[in-house]
Amino acid sequence: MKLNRNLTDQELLEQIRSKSNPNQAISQLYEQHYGVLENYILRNSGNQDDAADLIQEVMLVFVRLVTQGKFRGEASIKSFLYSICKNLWISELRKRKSMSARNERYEMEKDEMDLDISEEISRNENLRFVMDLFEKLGEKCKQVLTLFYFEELPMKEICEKLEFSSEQVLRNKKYKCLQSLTDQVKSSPSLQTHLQKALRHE
Amino acid sequence: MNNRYLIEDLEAYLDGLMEAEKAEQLVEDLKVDSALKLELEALKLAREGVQMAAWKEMIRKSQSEFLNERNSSAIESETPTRSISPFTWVSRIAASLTLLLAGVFAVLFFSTSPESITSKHLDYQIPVMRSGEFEISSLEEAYQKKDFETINKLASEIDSYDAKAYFILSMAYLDQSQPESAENLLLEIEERNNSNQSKEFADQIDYYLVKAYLEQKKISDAKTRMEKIQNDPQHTYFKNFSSWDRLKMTVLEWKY
Repeated sequence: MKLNRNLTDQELLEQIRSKSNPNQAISQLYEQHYGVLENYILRNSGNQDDAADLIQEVMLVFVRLVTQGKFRGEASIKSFLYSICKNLWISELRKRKSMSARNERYEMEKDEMDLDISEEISRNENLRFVMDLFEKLGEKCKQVLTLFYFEELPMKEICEKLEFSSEQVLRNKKYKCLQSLTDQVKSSPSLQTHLQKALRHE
Repeated sequence: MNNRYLIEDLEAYLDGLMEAEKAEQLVEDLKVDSALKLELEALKLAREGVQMAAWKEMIRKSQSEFLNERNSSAIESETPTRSISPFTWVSRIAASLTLLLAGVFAVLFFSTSPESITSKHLDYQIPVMRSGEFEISSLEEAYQKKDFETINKLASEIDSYDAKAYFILSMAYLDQSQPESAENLLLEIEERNNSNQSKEFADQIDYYLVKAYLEQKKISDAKTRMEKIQNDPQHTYFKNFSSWDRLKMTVLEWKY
């Protein structure tokens, strides 16, 4: 996992956006920032397991904000990750109903500073439910959808890779899988609030 | 579930690939059809969820690798006693000994000089006879007083071989830092002894020749003479040289 040369912030963001060698970018994020983020959680009533769970979420929120163009390097990656981490951890502590006066102070800071991130954290929680639904799909469905939507491979290549008899068969399979996931999203009680909210606002 | 649009249509709309006319119609339908709107919103979430699931897996793997690597490093740094093969131990000991020997040799090499051996040499003392049986000569008396002026004067008056006089003169020469003259006289006595089959001052000659040779940096000769003393337990000066002196003599041989 050792890198030959550290990417600059901009290079790292570009690798995530374009998905060119994203592993290198993620590895570097861990190498450079895990310690600081972990330290924050340990200093604020968390333990190492809390840190490990939360930092995965931090990275996921970060990647989503980068891929959606909501973070383009306006601040340093370090401070942005720290801000996400702080907000996620406060949110987690709130859930645990074990907020100390110290955390309440952070809560106030959060309200002042990180409203945008707070919004993203909420959306990320919805996505977590969708990801759980995705994990429950059949293996073939997961492969087809990942290769198409994440790897962005052409149908022909996916067809060869997964040994489908024809592109049409693959296309049908893809829509079938996507429809299945979409139906589950629609009927998920956990996602109802989000969907209703979306219906009201759009 | 809407009945007018397939999931393919909604995807084409989201990707901007739907025909303009059909897209406009869809927008109009979305305004009034909440089921269609729900379908579209769920599709957006589903597609984003697929992508994020892939990212999540990649992040999970990276984190796992990172933490494993970090834990391994921590264990390594906390465990100083790694298992080391006997060969490595032997090599390390050998290397340490070599370094130690090199250090000792360097110290020995630079600190050893002829003086480091001759400084321990005993000065010759005129034997004192309690009985007063023998008269002490003028030369001996002058030597006792280290009166080298008188000694030199008396030496010039010596016109025939006398072992004792020769020997005292040689000692006087050594005291006056004239080792070559001392050597000549001592060798003369030795030669006479050989001729006469006598042993006058034989042991003293060996002992003081070592000093005379060393002061002239004739290391090889000094070493031979010292070995002669060390190899003879009956020699008067047998205990006056140690193995350490022999080692120093070897060092001096390399040095000069």
